[in-house]
Amino acid sequence: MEGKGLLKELVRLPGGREILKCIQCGTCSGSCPMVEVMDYSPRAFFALIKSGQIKEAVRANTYWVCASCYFCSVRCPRGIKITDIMYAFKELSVKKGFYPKKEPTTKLYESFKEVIEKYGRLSEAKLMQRFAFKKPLLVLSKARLGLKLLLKKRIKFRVKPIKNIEAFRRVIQRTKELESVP
Amino acid sequence: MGQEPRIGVYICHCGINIAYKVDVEAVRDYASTLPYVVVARDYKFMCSNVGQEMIINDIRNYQLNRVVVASCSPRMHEKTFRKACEKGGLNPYFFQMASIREQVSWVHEDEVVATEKAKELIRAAVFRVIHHEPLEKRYVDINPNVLVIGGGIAGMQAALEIADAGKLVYLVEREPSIGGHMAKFDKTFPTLDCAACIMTPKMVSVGQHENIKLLTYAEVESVEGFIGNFKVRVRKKARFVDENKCTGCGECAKVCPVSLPNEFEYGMTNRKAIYRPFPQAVPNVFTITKEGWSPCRSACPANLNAHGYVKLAHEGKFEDAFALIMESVVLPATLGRACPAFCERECTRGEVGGSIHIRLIKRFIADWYYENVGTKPPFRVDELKNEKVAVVGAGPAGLSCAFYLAKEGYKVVIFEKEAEPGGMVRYAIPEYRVPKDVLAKDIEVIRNMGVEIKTNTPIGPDGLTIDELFAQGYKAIFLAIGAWKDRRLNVPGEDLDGIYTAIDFLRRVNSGERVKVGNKVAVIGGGNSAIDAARVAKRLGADVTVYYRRTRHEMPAFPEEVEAAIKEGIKFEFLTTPIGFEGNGKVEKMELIRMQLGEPDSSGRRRPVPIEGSNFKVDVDSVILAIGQVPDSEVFGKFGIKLNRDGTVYVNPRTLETSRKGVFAGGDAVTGPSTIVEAIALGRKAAYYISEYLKKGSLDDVNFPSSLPTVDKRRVLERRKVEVIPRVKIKELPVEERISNFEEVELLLTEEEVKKDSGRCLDCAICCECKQCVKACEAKAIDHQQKDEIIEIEVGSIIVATGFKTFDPTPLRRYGYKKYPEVYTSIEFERLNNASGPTEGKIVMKNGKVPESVAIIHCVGSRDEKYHPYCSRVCCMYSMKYAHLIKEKTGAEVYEFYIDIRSPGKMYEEFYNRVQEEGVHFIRGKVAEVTDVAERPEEEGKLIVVAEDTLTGRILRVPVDMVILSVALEPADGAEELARILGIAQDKDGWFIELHPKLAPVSTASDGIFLAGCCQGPKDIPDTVAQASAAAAEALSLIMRGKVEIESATSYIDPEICVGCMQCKSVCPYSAIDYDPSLGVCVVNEVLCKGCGLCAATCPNKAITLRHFKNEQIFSELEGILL
Amino acid sequence: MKAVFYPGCTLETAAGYEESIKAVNKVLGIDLPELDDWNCCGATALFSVDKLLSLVFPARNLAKAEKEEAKWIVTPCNACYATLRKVKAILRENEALREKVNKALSAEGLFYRGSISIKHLLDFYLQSELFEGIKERIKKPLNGLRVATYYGCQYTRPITGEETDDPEVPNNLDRLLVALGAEVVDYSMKTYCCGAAQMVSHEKGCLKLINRIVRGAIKEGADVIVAICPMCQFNVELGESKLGYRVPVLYFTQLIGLSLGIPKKMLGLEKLMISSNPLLSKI
Repeated sequence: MEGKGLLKELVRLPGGREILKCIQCGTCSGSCPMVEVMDYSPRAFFALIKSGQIKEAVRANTYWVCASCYFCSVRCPRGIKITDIMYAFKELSVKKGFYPKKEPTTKLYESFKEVIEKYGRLSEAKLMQRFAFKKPLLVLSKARLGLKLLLKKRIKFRVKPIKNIEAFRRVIQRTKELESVP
Repeated sequence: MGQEPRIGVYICHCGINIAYKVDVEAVRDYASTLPYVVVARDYKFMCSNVGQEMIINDIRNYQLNRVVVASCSPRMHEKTFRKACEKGGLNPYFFQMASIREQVSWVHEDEVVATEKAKELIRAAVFRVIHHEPLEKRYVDINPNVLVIGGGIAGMQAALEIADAGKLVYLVEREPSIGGHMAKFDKTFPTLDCAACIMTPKMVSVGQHENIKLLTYAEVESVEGFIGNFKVRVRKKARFVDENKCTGCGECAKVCPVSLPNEFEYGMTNRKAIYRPFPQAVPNVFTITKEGWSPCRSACPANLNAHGYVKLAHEGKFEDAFALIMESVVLPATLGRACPAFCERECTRGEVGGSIHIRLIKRFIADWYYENVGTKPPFRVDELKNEKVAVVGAGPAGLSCAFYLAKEGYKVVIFEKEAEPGGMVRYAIPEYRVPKDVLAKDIEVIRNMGVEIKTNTPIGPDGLTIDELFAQGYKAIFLAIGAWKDRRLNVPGEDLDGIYTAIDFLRRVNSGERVKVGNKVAVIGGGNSAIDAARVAKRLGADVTVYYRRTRHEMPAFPEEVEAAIKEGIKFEFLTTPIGFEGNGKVEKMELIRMQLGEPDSSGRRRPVPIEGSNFKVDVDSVILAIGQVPDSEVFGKFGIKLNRDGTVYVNPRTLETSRKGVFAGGDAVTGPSTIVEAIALGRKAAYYISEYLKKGSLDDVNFPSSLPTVDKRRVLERRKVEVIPRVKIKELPVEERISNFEEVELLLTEEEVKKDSGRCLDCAICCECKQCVKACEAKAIDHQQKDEIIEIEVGSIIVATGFKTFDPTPLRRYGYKKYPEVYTSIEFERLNNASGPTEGKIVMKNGKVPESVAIIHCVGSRDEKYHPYCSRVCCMYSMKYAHLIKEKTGAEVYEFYIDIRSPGKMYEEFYNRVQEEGVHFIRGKVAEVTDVAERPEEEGKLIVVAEDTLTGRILRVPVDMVILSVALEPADGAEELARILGIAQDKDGWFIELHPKLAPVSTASDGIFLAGCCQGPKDIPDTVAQASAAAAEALSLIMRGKVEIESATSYIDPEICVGCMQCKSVCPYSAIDYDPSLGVCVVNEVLCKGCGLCAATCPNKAITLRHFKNEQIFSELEGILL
Repeated sequence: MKAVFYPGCTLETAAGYEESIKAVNKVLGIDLPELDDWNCCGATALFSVDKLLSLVFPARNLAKAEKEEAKWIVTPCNACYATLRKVKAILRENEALREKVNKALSAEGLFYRGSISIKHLLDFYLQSELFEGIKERIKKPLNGLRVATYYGCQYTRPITGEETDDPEVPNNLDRLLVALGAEVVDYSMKTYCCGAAQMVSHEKGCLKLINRIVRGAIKEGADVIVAICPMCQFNVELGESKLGYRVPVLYFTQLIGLSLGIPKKMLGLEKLMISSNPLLSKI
């Protein structure tokens, strides 16, 4: 029955109720740049939810590989804000801790988070270093590219954190506290 | 209140509609506690027979004298329950209804709240009904005539049904022909019988039926009155063709020079300005699209129809072109050379490649005519008249006036003081601009019209007087003496030899005198005569400088003339003016002073003021003063003709009459120095008024034929994509050649160039009034003066059948409509596939090839919240019809991209199966986009349709040759306006709302107005026709009843209180209120009153009460609510 | 009215974007100060993994900009542009979240009012007075240069209603380049996604996207693809080199620079992977 509970929860997500309006026309899938690497196309993903196969849906990588280009949202004939719903799903799955283990994007995003929490800003170099711990092979495959970029002075290894990094960390701290309280 | 009220309250469960939210038992019990309530009951269906019986019996058994029913809405069942009361022997107005379904159970989630609200509404109803009073029933007669709006299949069907029943029908259609959309179809689903075969016969019988008055190209403007008695105003748009005379032979269209995109074919072909939408049109008559006057024509002081003769020139019809020109102006060859061409300044082409060479085209036409036809006038004298008219002065104005009077048949004599006719054109305009032989030919035409020109015959001191002219039997006189007297500077030395005035100088040269100007010539002034004089002096071999007191920007001379002068090496000194001349006997030196521009003067130009001490001198051999001219008119003052201070002749600006009866004036004599074409314009205007004066003796209610509004250039450029085409280059005589002689500077356009340049015309007004159609029409059916006419008709009922329009998919950019030529809308494809369409029914691409694969995209604009949320109902079926026809005709692969196939109709599903079996590919998935960017070799050069096959979950890229967009149906243009006129409602999508979706599907909330076809919502032909017959039946049953009961709740004016201010009269929409002067009060005509209550609300003295809506009734109801 | 510049993290490693912006602003005499002590907006990534933080990060920048009394915060990056707008929209609609966010920001003494409006650098340059200024100063019009205008996805998509262009067939960049004298080709891939961050984890899929983006330009005979976002430029340029295409991908500011006659070294053109020389010779 977890599924049913989840569906209720999904429907309560911002724009979640809209999922129920879907007529399965497939405009979203046809417009989706990432559809080829998705376990289920956006449309099929919605079909799973509407038919109550919530567990299968949240296990899918669909919402993780969404590049958030908003093409589906622009074109959906039912006016469903699909991209926002994908975000809601990521959030939900993080909260519930059941996201597709094999999906590299999740790792990448975590590394991303770690970097900016540390420096306040992103550095591709630092990002890749951290990502390397999690997905060594994937990163290795990009080494040659990194070299090229280096030659073109398009990589900086040294990152200067933002001036007011302490205050910034305080903000993060406060945020975390606020998050823990519902 | 009369006797003690005894009220029965009845609460309806409406099945469970009410009962599932409202605790009906509780409500019933509550109701029984209310004042005067004798009995309260609840029942499953109060509207049912049993329910009504219940009321009837209670009335008898409990002696009820008031009844309240709490159920659905009054719109639904008020009539039902009023009848029940009546059956029970109660006046139906002792009844009140409380809506606890629409107002309560359907709109409340919480049962408790709902139940409470139900109680309150019932309480209010009870409180109200206590104060009800009996009203007697009222009837009105039904006018048996019916109005049907819209001539599509629905309108035609309804009209025929009613007409066959022997009743009179007015069928109003705004297009030139009836037939609507169905006339555009080739085959119809699911039977695939040909639309024309079932349509055309109907159209014909509508056209011929004695009981159908067909008003095509007409629109309903206003509707007044009410059921049984509607007064309707219909605007019949000017067709410019007499429907009764036109035989539909089509000769006119053959000769019409104007073509434009054909709306009926959605721009896939062109049509002429005079056209018939399609060959089977009913009525089978032609229509002219005329949007007003083209800017060129409006810009011309003489309103010369440039658009017309440019088109004729393009067709090579130079003789007709010449005639068209002469209808508005004389001296065409002269104007073709020396006209400032105001027309070209306004030409819409000016913004996209440079204006048409209108003037040079006119010049070519005139020269061509004189060379190939001669100088015979292009038209005959209307009919000879006895009156003689004298014209004084043979300049452009005089010649023009004389010519048009002669054309009217008057005997005209021109008195000219000079040796040659032509006025300024002959004597002031230099040879190199208008050669004398050209002018001579222009004048020859006028002579050949029967005008007599007496030269060397001045009027005035040394000649005849005005009185003598009248004495000689001239019935009217036109003064066109021009403006020949040069202004003078009034500075020392102005009388020295070698100082000429411009006109005098030019006149001498033009009379053949060899004027000796010497070496250094100074020309003073900035007008056209200054430039003429300068260029002439140049040709006499002098070194010429023009001195002008303002800057080039303020020069009145035509820019192109100044340009030419500069080219020819004439120098200009601006902001200088002479203050004196020196020399003994003959001028040698000229003293000038520099000027600067000060405040603007009366002419709006900045006034030049001298700069102290900036004087300087120059050597001159001669000076030409060209600082303007005035009419030489004193003498006429002596003849008792009023003059203005500047010496111009005073005239009535409208009629050109002078202060002396029978004497008219025009040209420079009236306007001061002006252009040839303006003089000619006034000449023609004078001719018109003189002729009217001679016919009627007075000009009080005579007016010169009015002009049409000018077409807006913006609209012209928006009509269709206009590509930039540069104007033809004009050849000119090389400078070194020109300045040595008086040869014409501007060289003629060749015939080819004329045709090429005239081909750039954008047909601003669409119809160019070239009158070719008039010539071609043997039936004499064409009338370019036709005006819209207003027709008033009276009918008893109205059937609205205004249909739909198809959705324009351009905003859905992803489907590439208008970007890729092979993307069509469904309705365009109907034409493409139609035997009488642009390709005679061959399904081919724009390149003429047969498509090998076609994709049909469903739900374009339908089931889409950004456009239309509803399903358009017919698209699935017609899409499958296309699939079948495409397969049949081309054998191409057809792909149907659908979301859900909807085939709910007799034999529809079977048709679906049939098409499936024919091997059409059905892909369940809405197309995401159509692109021409190939990713695989087989996609090169194709349109790629991208969609998810939702049944397999695979993303498909299907390369095709042709794409058809099955576009939505939406309400027709003007539906909103019509709804307002008829007082009927539209739903959120704009469709007209029926009274009840099931029980009254073709009625509207306005009694006597019915709906048929797609104006009520998308539907297919079978449903449309069925609905049309239903609407006809409704109208007929109304007629058969002969009488109809109408609202008894009318308003009543208390004469004791009324002060007769008549405000009520002014607001009453049914003109049901009259003022009785004898009593000084207003009175309501109860037959006309509809009980709308406007008057009651308006009356400042509260003298008006609306029965059944009296204050006590309403207040008591409110009390019931608020208690 | 005051505008502050929000560069975003990727600007300094972008191939000459920053250089060209600075150079162009100098020539046009535009004063566009950098937002003091700005932080990463969090982009798609953070939004995916930590909702509240993903609101707080952008809000911090917006709040700082408001504190500097700026009317506009101007960003050269589509992702930042989208993120900032998204946060603005969410906080506009959800009061509870706005309170939470402001609680967090108060840790640094900041407060987000929601008064700031968000502008993409492209729209900044298209403001009438600036646009006129550019037109007036054109030294080397880009006549004869055929350009494909690549907007990327996140620039046009409607989020707050501040968007200035059609979500599928935008025209702003076209207008600008036409004014510079370039010939804008009828390019159908204007707003197609480049794969963004997914290029890291799903390269194969993303290269397909790059392929059609580049083919679309080649099909119309474009000499150059013009980008308005570091991520787009990076993905397209590197992607197409992998696929073996050689269509230069320049930032619109680099083309403005060229038309203003700014020397190429000041526009960082040498940082491009695919040389811009062929098209320089064309102008």
